[in-house]
Amino acid sequence: MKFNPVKGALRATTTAFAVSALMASSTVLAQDNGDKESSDKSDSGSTNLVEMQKDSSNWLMWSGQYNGQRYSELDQITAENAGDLAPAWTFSTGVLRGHEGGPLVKGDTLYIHTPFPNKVFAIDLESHAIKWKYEPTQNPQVIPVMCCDTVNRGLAYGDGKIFLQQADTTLVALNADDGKVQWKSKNGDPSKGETATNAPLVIKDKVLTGISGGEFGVRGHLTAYNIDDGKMAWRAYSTGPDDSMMIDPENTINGITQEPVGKDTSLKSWEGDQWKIGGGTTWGWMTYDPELDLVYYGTGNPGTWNPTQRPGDNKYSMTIFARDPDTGEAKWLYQMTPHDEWDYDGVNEKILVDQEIDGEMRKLVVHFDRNGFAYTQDRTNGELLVAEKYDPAVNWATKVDMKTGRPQVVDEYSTSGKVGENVENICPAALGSKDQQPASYSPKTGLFYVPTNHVCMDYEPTKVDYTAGQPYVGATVAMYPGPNDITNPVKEPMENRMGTFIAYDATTGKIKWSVPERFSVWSGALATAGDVVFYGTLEGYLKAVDAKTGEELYSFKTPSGIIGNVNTWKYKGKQYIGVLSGIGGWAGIGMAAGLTDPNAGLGAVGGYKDLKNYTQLGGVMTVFALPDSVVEKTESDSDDEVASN
Amino acid sequence: MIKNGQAIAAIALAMALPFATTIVLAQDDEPVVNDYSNMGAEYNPSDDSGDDASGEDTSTSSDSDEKSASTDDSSADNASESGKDDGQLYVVECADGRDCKVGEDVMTGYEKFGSHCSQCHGQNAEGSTFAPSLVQRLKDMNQGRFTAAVAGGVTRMDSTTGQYSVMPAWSENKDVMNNLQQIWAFLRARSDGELPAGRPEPLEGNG
Repeated sequence: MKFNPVKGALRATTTAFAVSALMASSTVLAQDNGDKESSDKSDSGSTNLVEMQKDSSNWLMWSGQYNGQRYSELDQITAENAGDLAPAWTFSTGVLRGHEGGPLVKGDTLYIHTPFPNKVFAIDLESHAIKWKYEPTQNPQVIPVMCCDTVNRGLAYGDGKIFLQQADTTLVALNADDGKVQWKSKNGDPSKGETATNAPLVIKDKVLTGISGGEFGVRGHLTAYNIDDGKMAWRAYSTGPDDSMMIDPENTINGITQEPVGKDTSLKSWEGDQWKIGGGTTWGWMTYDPELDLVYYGTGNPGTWNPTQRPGDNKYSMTIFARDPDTGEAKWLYQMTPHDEWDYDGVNEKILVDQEIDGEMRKLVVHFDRNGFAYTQDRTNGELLVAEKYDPAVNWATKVDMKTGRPQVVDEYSTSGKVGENVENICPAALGSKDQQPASYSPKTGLFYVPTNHVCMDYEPTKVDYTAGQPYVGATVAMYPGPNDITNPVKEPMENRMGTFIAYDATTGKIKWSVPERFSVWSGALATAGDVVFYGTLEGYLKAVDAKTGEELYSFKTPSGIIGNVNTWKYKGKQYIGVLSGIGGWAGIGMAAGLTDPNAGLGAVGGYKDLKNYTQLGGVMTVFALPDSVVEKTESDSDDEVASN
Repeated sequence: MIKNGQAIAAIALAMALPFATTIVLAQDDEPVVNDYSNMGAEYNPSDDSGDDASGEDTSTSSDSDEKSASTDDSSADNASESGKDDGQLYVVECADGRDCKVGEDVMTGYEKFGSHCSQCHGQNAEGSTFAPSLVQRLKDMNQGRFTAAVAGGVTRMDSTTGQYSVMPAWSENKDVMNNLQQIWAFLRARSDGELPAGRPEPLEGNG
C-alpha cells in the first residue's frame, strides 16, 4: 500500500515522450538553500494554520477557511449599510487573460496572482505599494495545451511561504516576506497535455496540488509535496490499479453501499488500457476537516468526450474522494456521474458544514455538481443524504437513485452510442449548472449561496484518436441560453438569461430564492456575518445582496467581467472586500463570440446581447470598503448595543 | 503568398525544438524575470489586422454574418490561388440566409472544427477572449497560409500587450491533417458570409 515517491517520479519520466525528455529529466527541482531554520516543525504551517484560519482579519486560503464555506465572521458591512460601499483602491495586474481566484491577506500584506505567465504580487496594505513581485519563466507553448484559457485559481499560504501552482505544472514555494524562491517541484509534463490551473492547499507539513488536462487524455492525480523541500510525499491517481490510486480494497468505503469498494474497481470499469488516458483530472478546489483529518476533492471528466469510445463506468472519473492527507489513502469515495456522456466534471468544491437533518446534527459535505445535482453527504463516510437539482432546467437525468447513487439518465439526452448524431437540448451544457465558481455558506442563515450557469447544449460525439499532448475531445458542442424557468425569482427574469444566483437549502434540497442574471455567474461567492452575500457578474458588476432575501444592496461596475472570487479581510479596523476582474476562462470562450438561440433560427441571436457589448479584457483588482463616517457610525451603534445588553 | 506561409511554417517548426530545451527552471533564490528574447516568437504587424473580433467589430456580432454575404467570389480566388483547381470549394444552400444545407466537405469540416478548433476559436469560429475570430481572420488569408498555420502552429507576441498568442501545431494529428481541406471549406464558407452561425444540415444524399 505504501507508495514509493521516487519510483513514481521515475515512472513519470520513463513514460515521457522523447521530445519531452529534457523537461521530464528535471522533475525534481528542489534546492537546498541552507535556510531551513525558519521551517522548524513546531512553527510550520501545520497545526498553526488550523488556528490561524480562525482569525477573520486574514484570508489565508482560497475559501478563507479549510471548510470551503467562504464565510467571514466580519460584520462591519451589514445589510443596512452595504449600500454605502465604495471602491477604496485598485490594482492592475497587467495581464489580459481570464482572472479566476482571489487575493490572500495575511497581516499587512495582500498576495495576488495572475493567469499565465502566473505573476505573483505582494502588496503592502498601508501604502498599496508592491513589496515584491515574482514572475516565472514558462514556455508559451504551454498556452495552447490549456483547454479553456490560461486561468489560475490562486495561491496558498503556509509555513511562512506562498505557494503558486504554475501553468506548466511547476509548484513553487516563495518566501512570503521577500518572494525568494524556496523550492520548485514539477508535477507534470505539458508536452503530454498536463498543465495546472488549481490553487494548492497546505495541510500540516504538506502542500497538495492537482493536475489539469482532461481534454488531453491526462490521467489525473492528487499529489502531496513536503512543505520543507518540495519532495513528493505521495501521489494518488484517479484511475488504474488500486495501489496507484491509494485505494485499499478492504478499507476504502463506497459512500453508497457503505461497504469496502473491493478489488480493482477502476480497472474493471474501463476497456483494456483506456484508464491510462482516462482523465479524472483534479483541477478543482480542495477542502479539509482537521478533526476527521480528511481532505475532500473531486475528479474530472473521463478521457474523450465521446462516451461510445470508452465503455464502462470509467471509475474514478467524476468522483468525490475523502483522503488521509498524511498518507493519501482513500477513506471513502462516490462517483456522481458514471460513464459521463456530457463533460460533467466532478471537481466542484466540497463544502463542509454541520447541519441538522431529520432532527439529527450531521457532519456534512455539500457540493453543487456540474451535472446539475446538489449532493448532501455525511462527510465521515460518504453516505448520500440528499441529491436534488439546483436548476429546474436540468433534464439529462430525472433524479439520483438514492439506493444505487446512480443518476436516472433520460434516453433522449444520452450521447452514448450516438456517434455522428446531434443530441439536442441537453441541460445543463458541458459548462455544467455550476463550474469552478465556488459557492458560499452562511452558518447564520443555514443557506448556500450558489453562482450558477443556465445554459443548455447540443452534443455530437465524434470519433477521436489519442495523440500525446493533443486535444482528445471527440465532441462538437453548441451552447445556448437555457429555458426561461426559474424557482422563486427575486425579480423579473430577463429573456434568454444564462445565469442565476441562488440560495439553496442543502438539508431539504430546495431553492429558497433566485436572482436572475443575464450571463452565467462565474465568480466565487462570499457570505458574511453582516448578512451580506457578494458575487460578481460577467458584465463586471460586483454585487452585494441581502443574505435572507436576495435583494440587491449594492452594485458597482468594475473594469472587466468578473470570474474571480470575492474575498474579505480587515485592516486597521476596516473591513475590505476584494475581487479580481478580467473576463476570460471558459466563460470567455462560450460568451465572447455570442451564443446563438437555436429556437430563433440559425445565425439569429434572439434577445441575447453579446457579452462584448458589456466588457473587455483586463486584469484589475478592486477593493471596496465603507466610508469612514459610516464605519464610525456602525462601530458606535454596536458599542451602544453592547452597552445596553 | 505561399512563400509567406512556408516562412511561418519554418518558424513554427523551429519552435518545436526550443520547447524541449528552453524551459528554464531557475534554481537561484532571486525571483525570475521573463526573458522571451530567444524564444523565436514571431511578430508580424500585418498579423494584427482583423485579429481580434472585439477589436474591429464595433457593431453587434450578428452583423458579421450579413455584411460580408456578397463576397462569394473571394473563395474561388483563394481556392485557385492555393492550387485547388476543381472550382467549387464548398456547397451551401440556404433559404433566406438560414436553414442552410451544406455539401459533405463543409459538414465534415464543421464537425472536425467543432471537435478540435472550437475550444479556442469558438463554436461558430467567431473567436474567444483568447483566440481570434476565424470569420474575420480568413478574410485576409489564403489556403497555403492557413495550412501552414494549422500544421506548424503559430506563436506570436503582441507588442502592444506584451502577451503571447499561441496556436498549437497539428501536424501530428491525423484527424485534423486528413480533414484540412474540409475544415478550410467550412471556415471559408463562414468567412465569406455564405454560412451563418450554428449547426448546418447535410444536403440530401450526403449521408
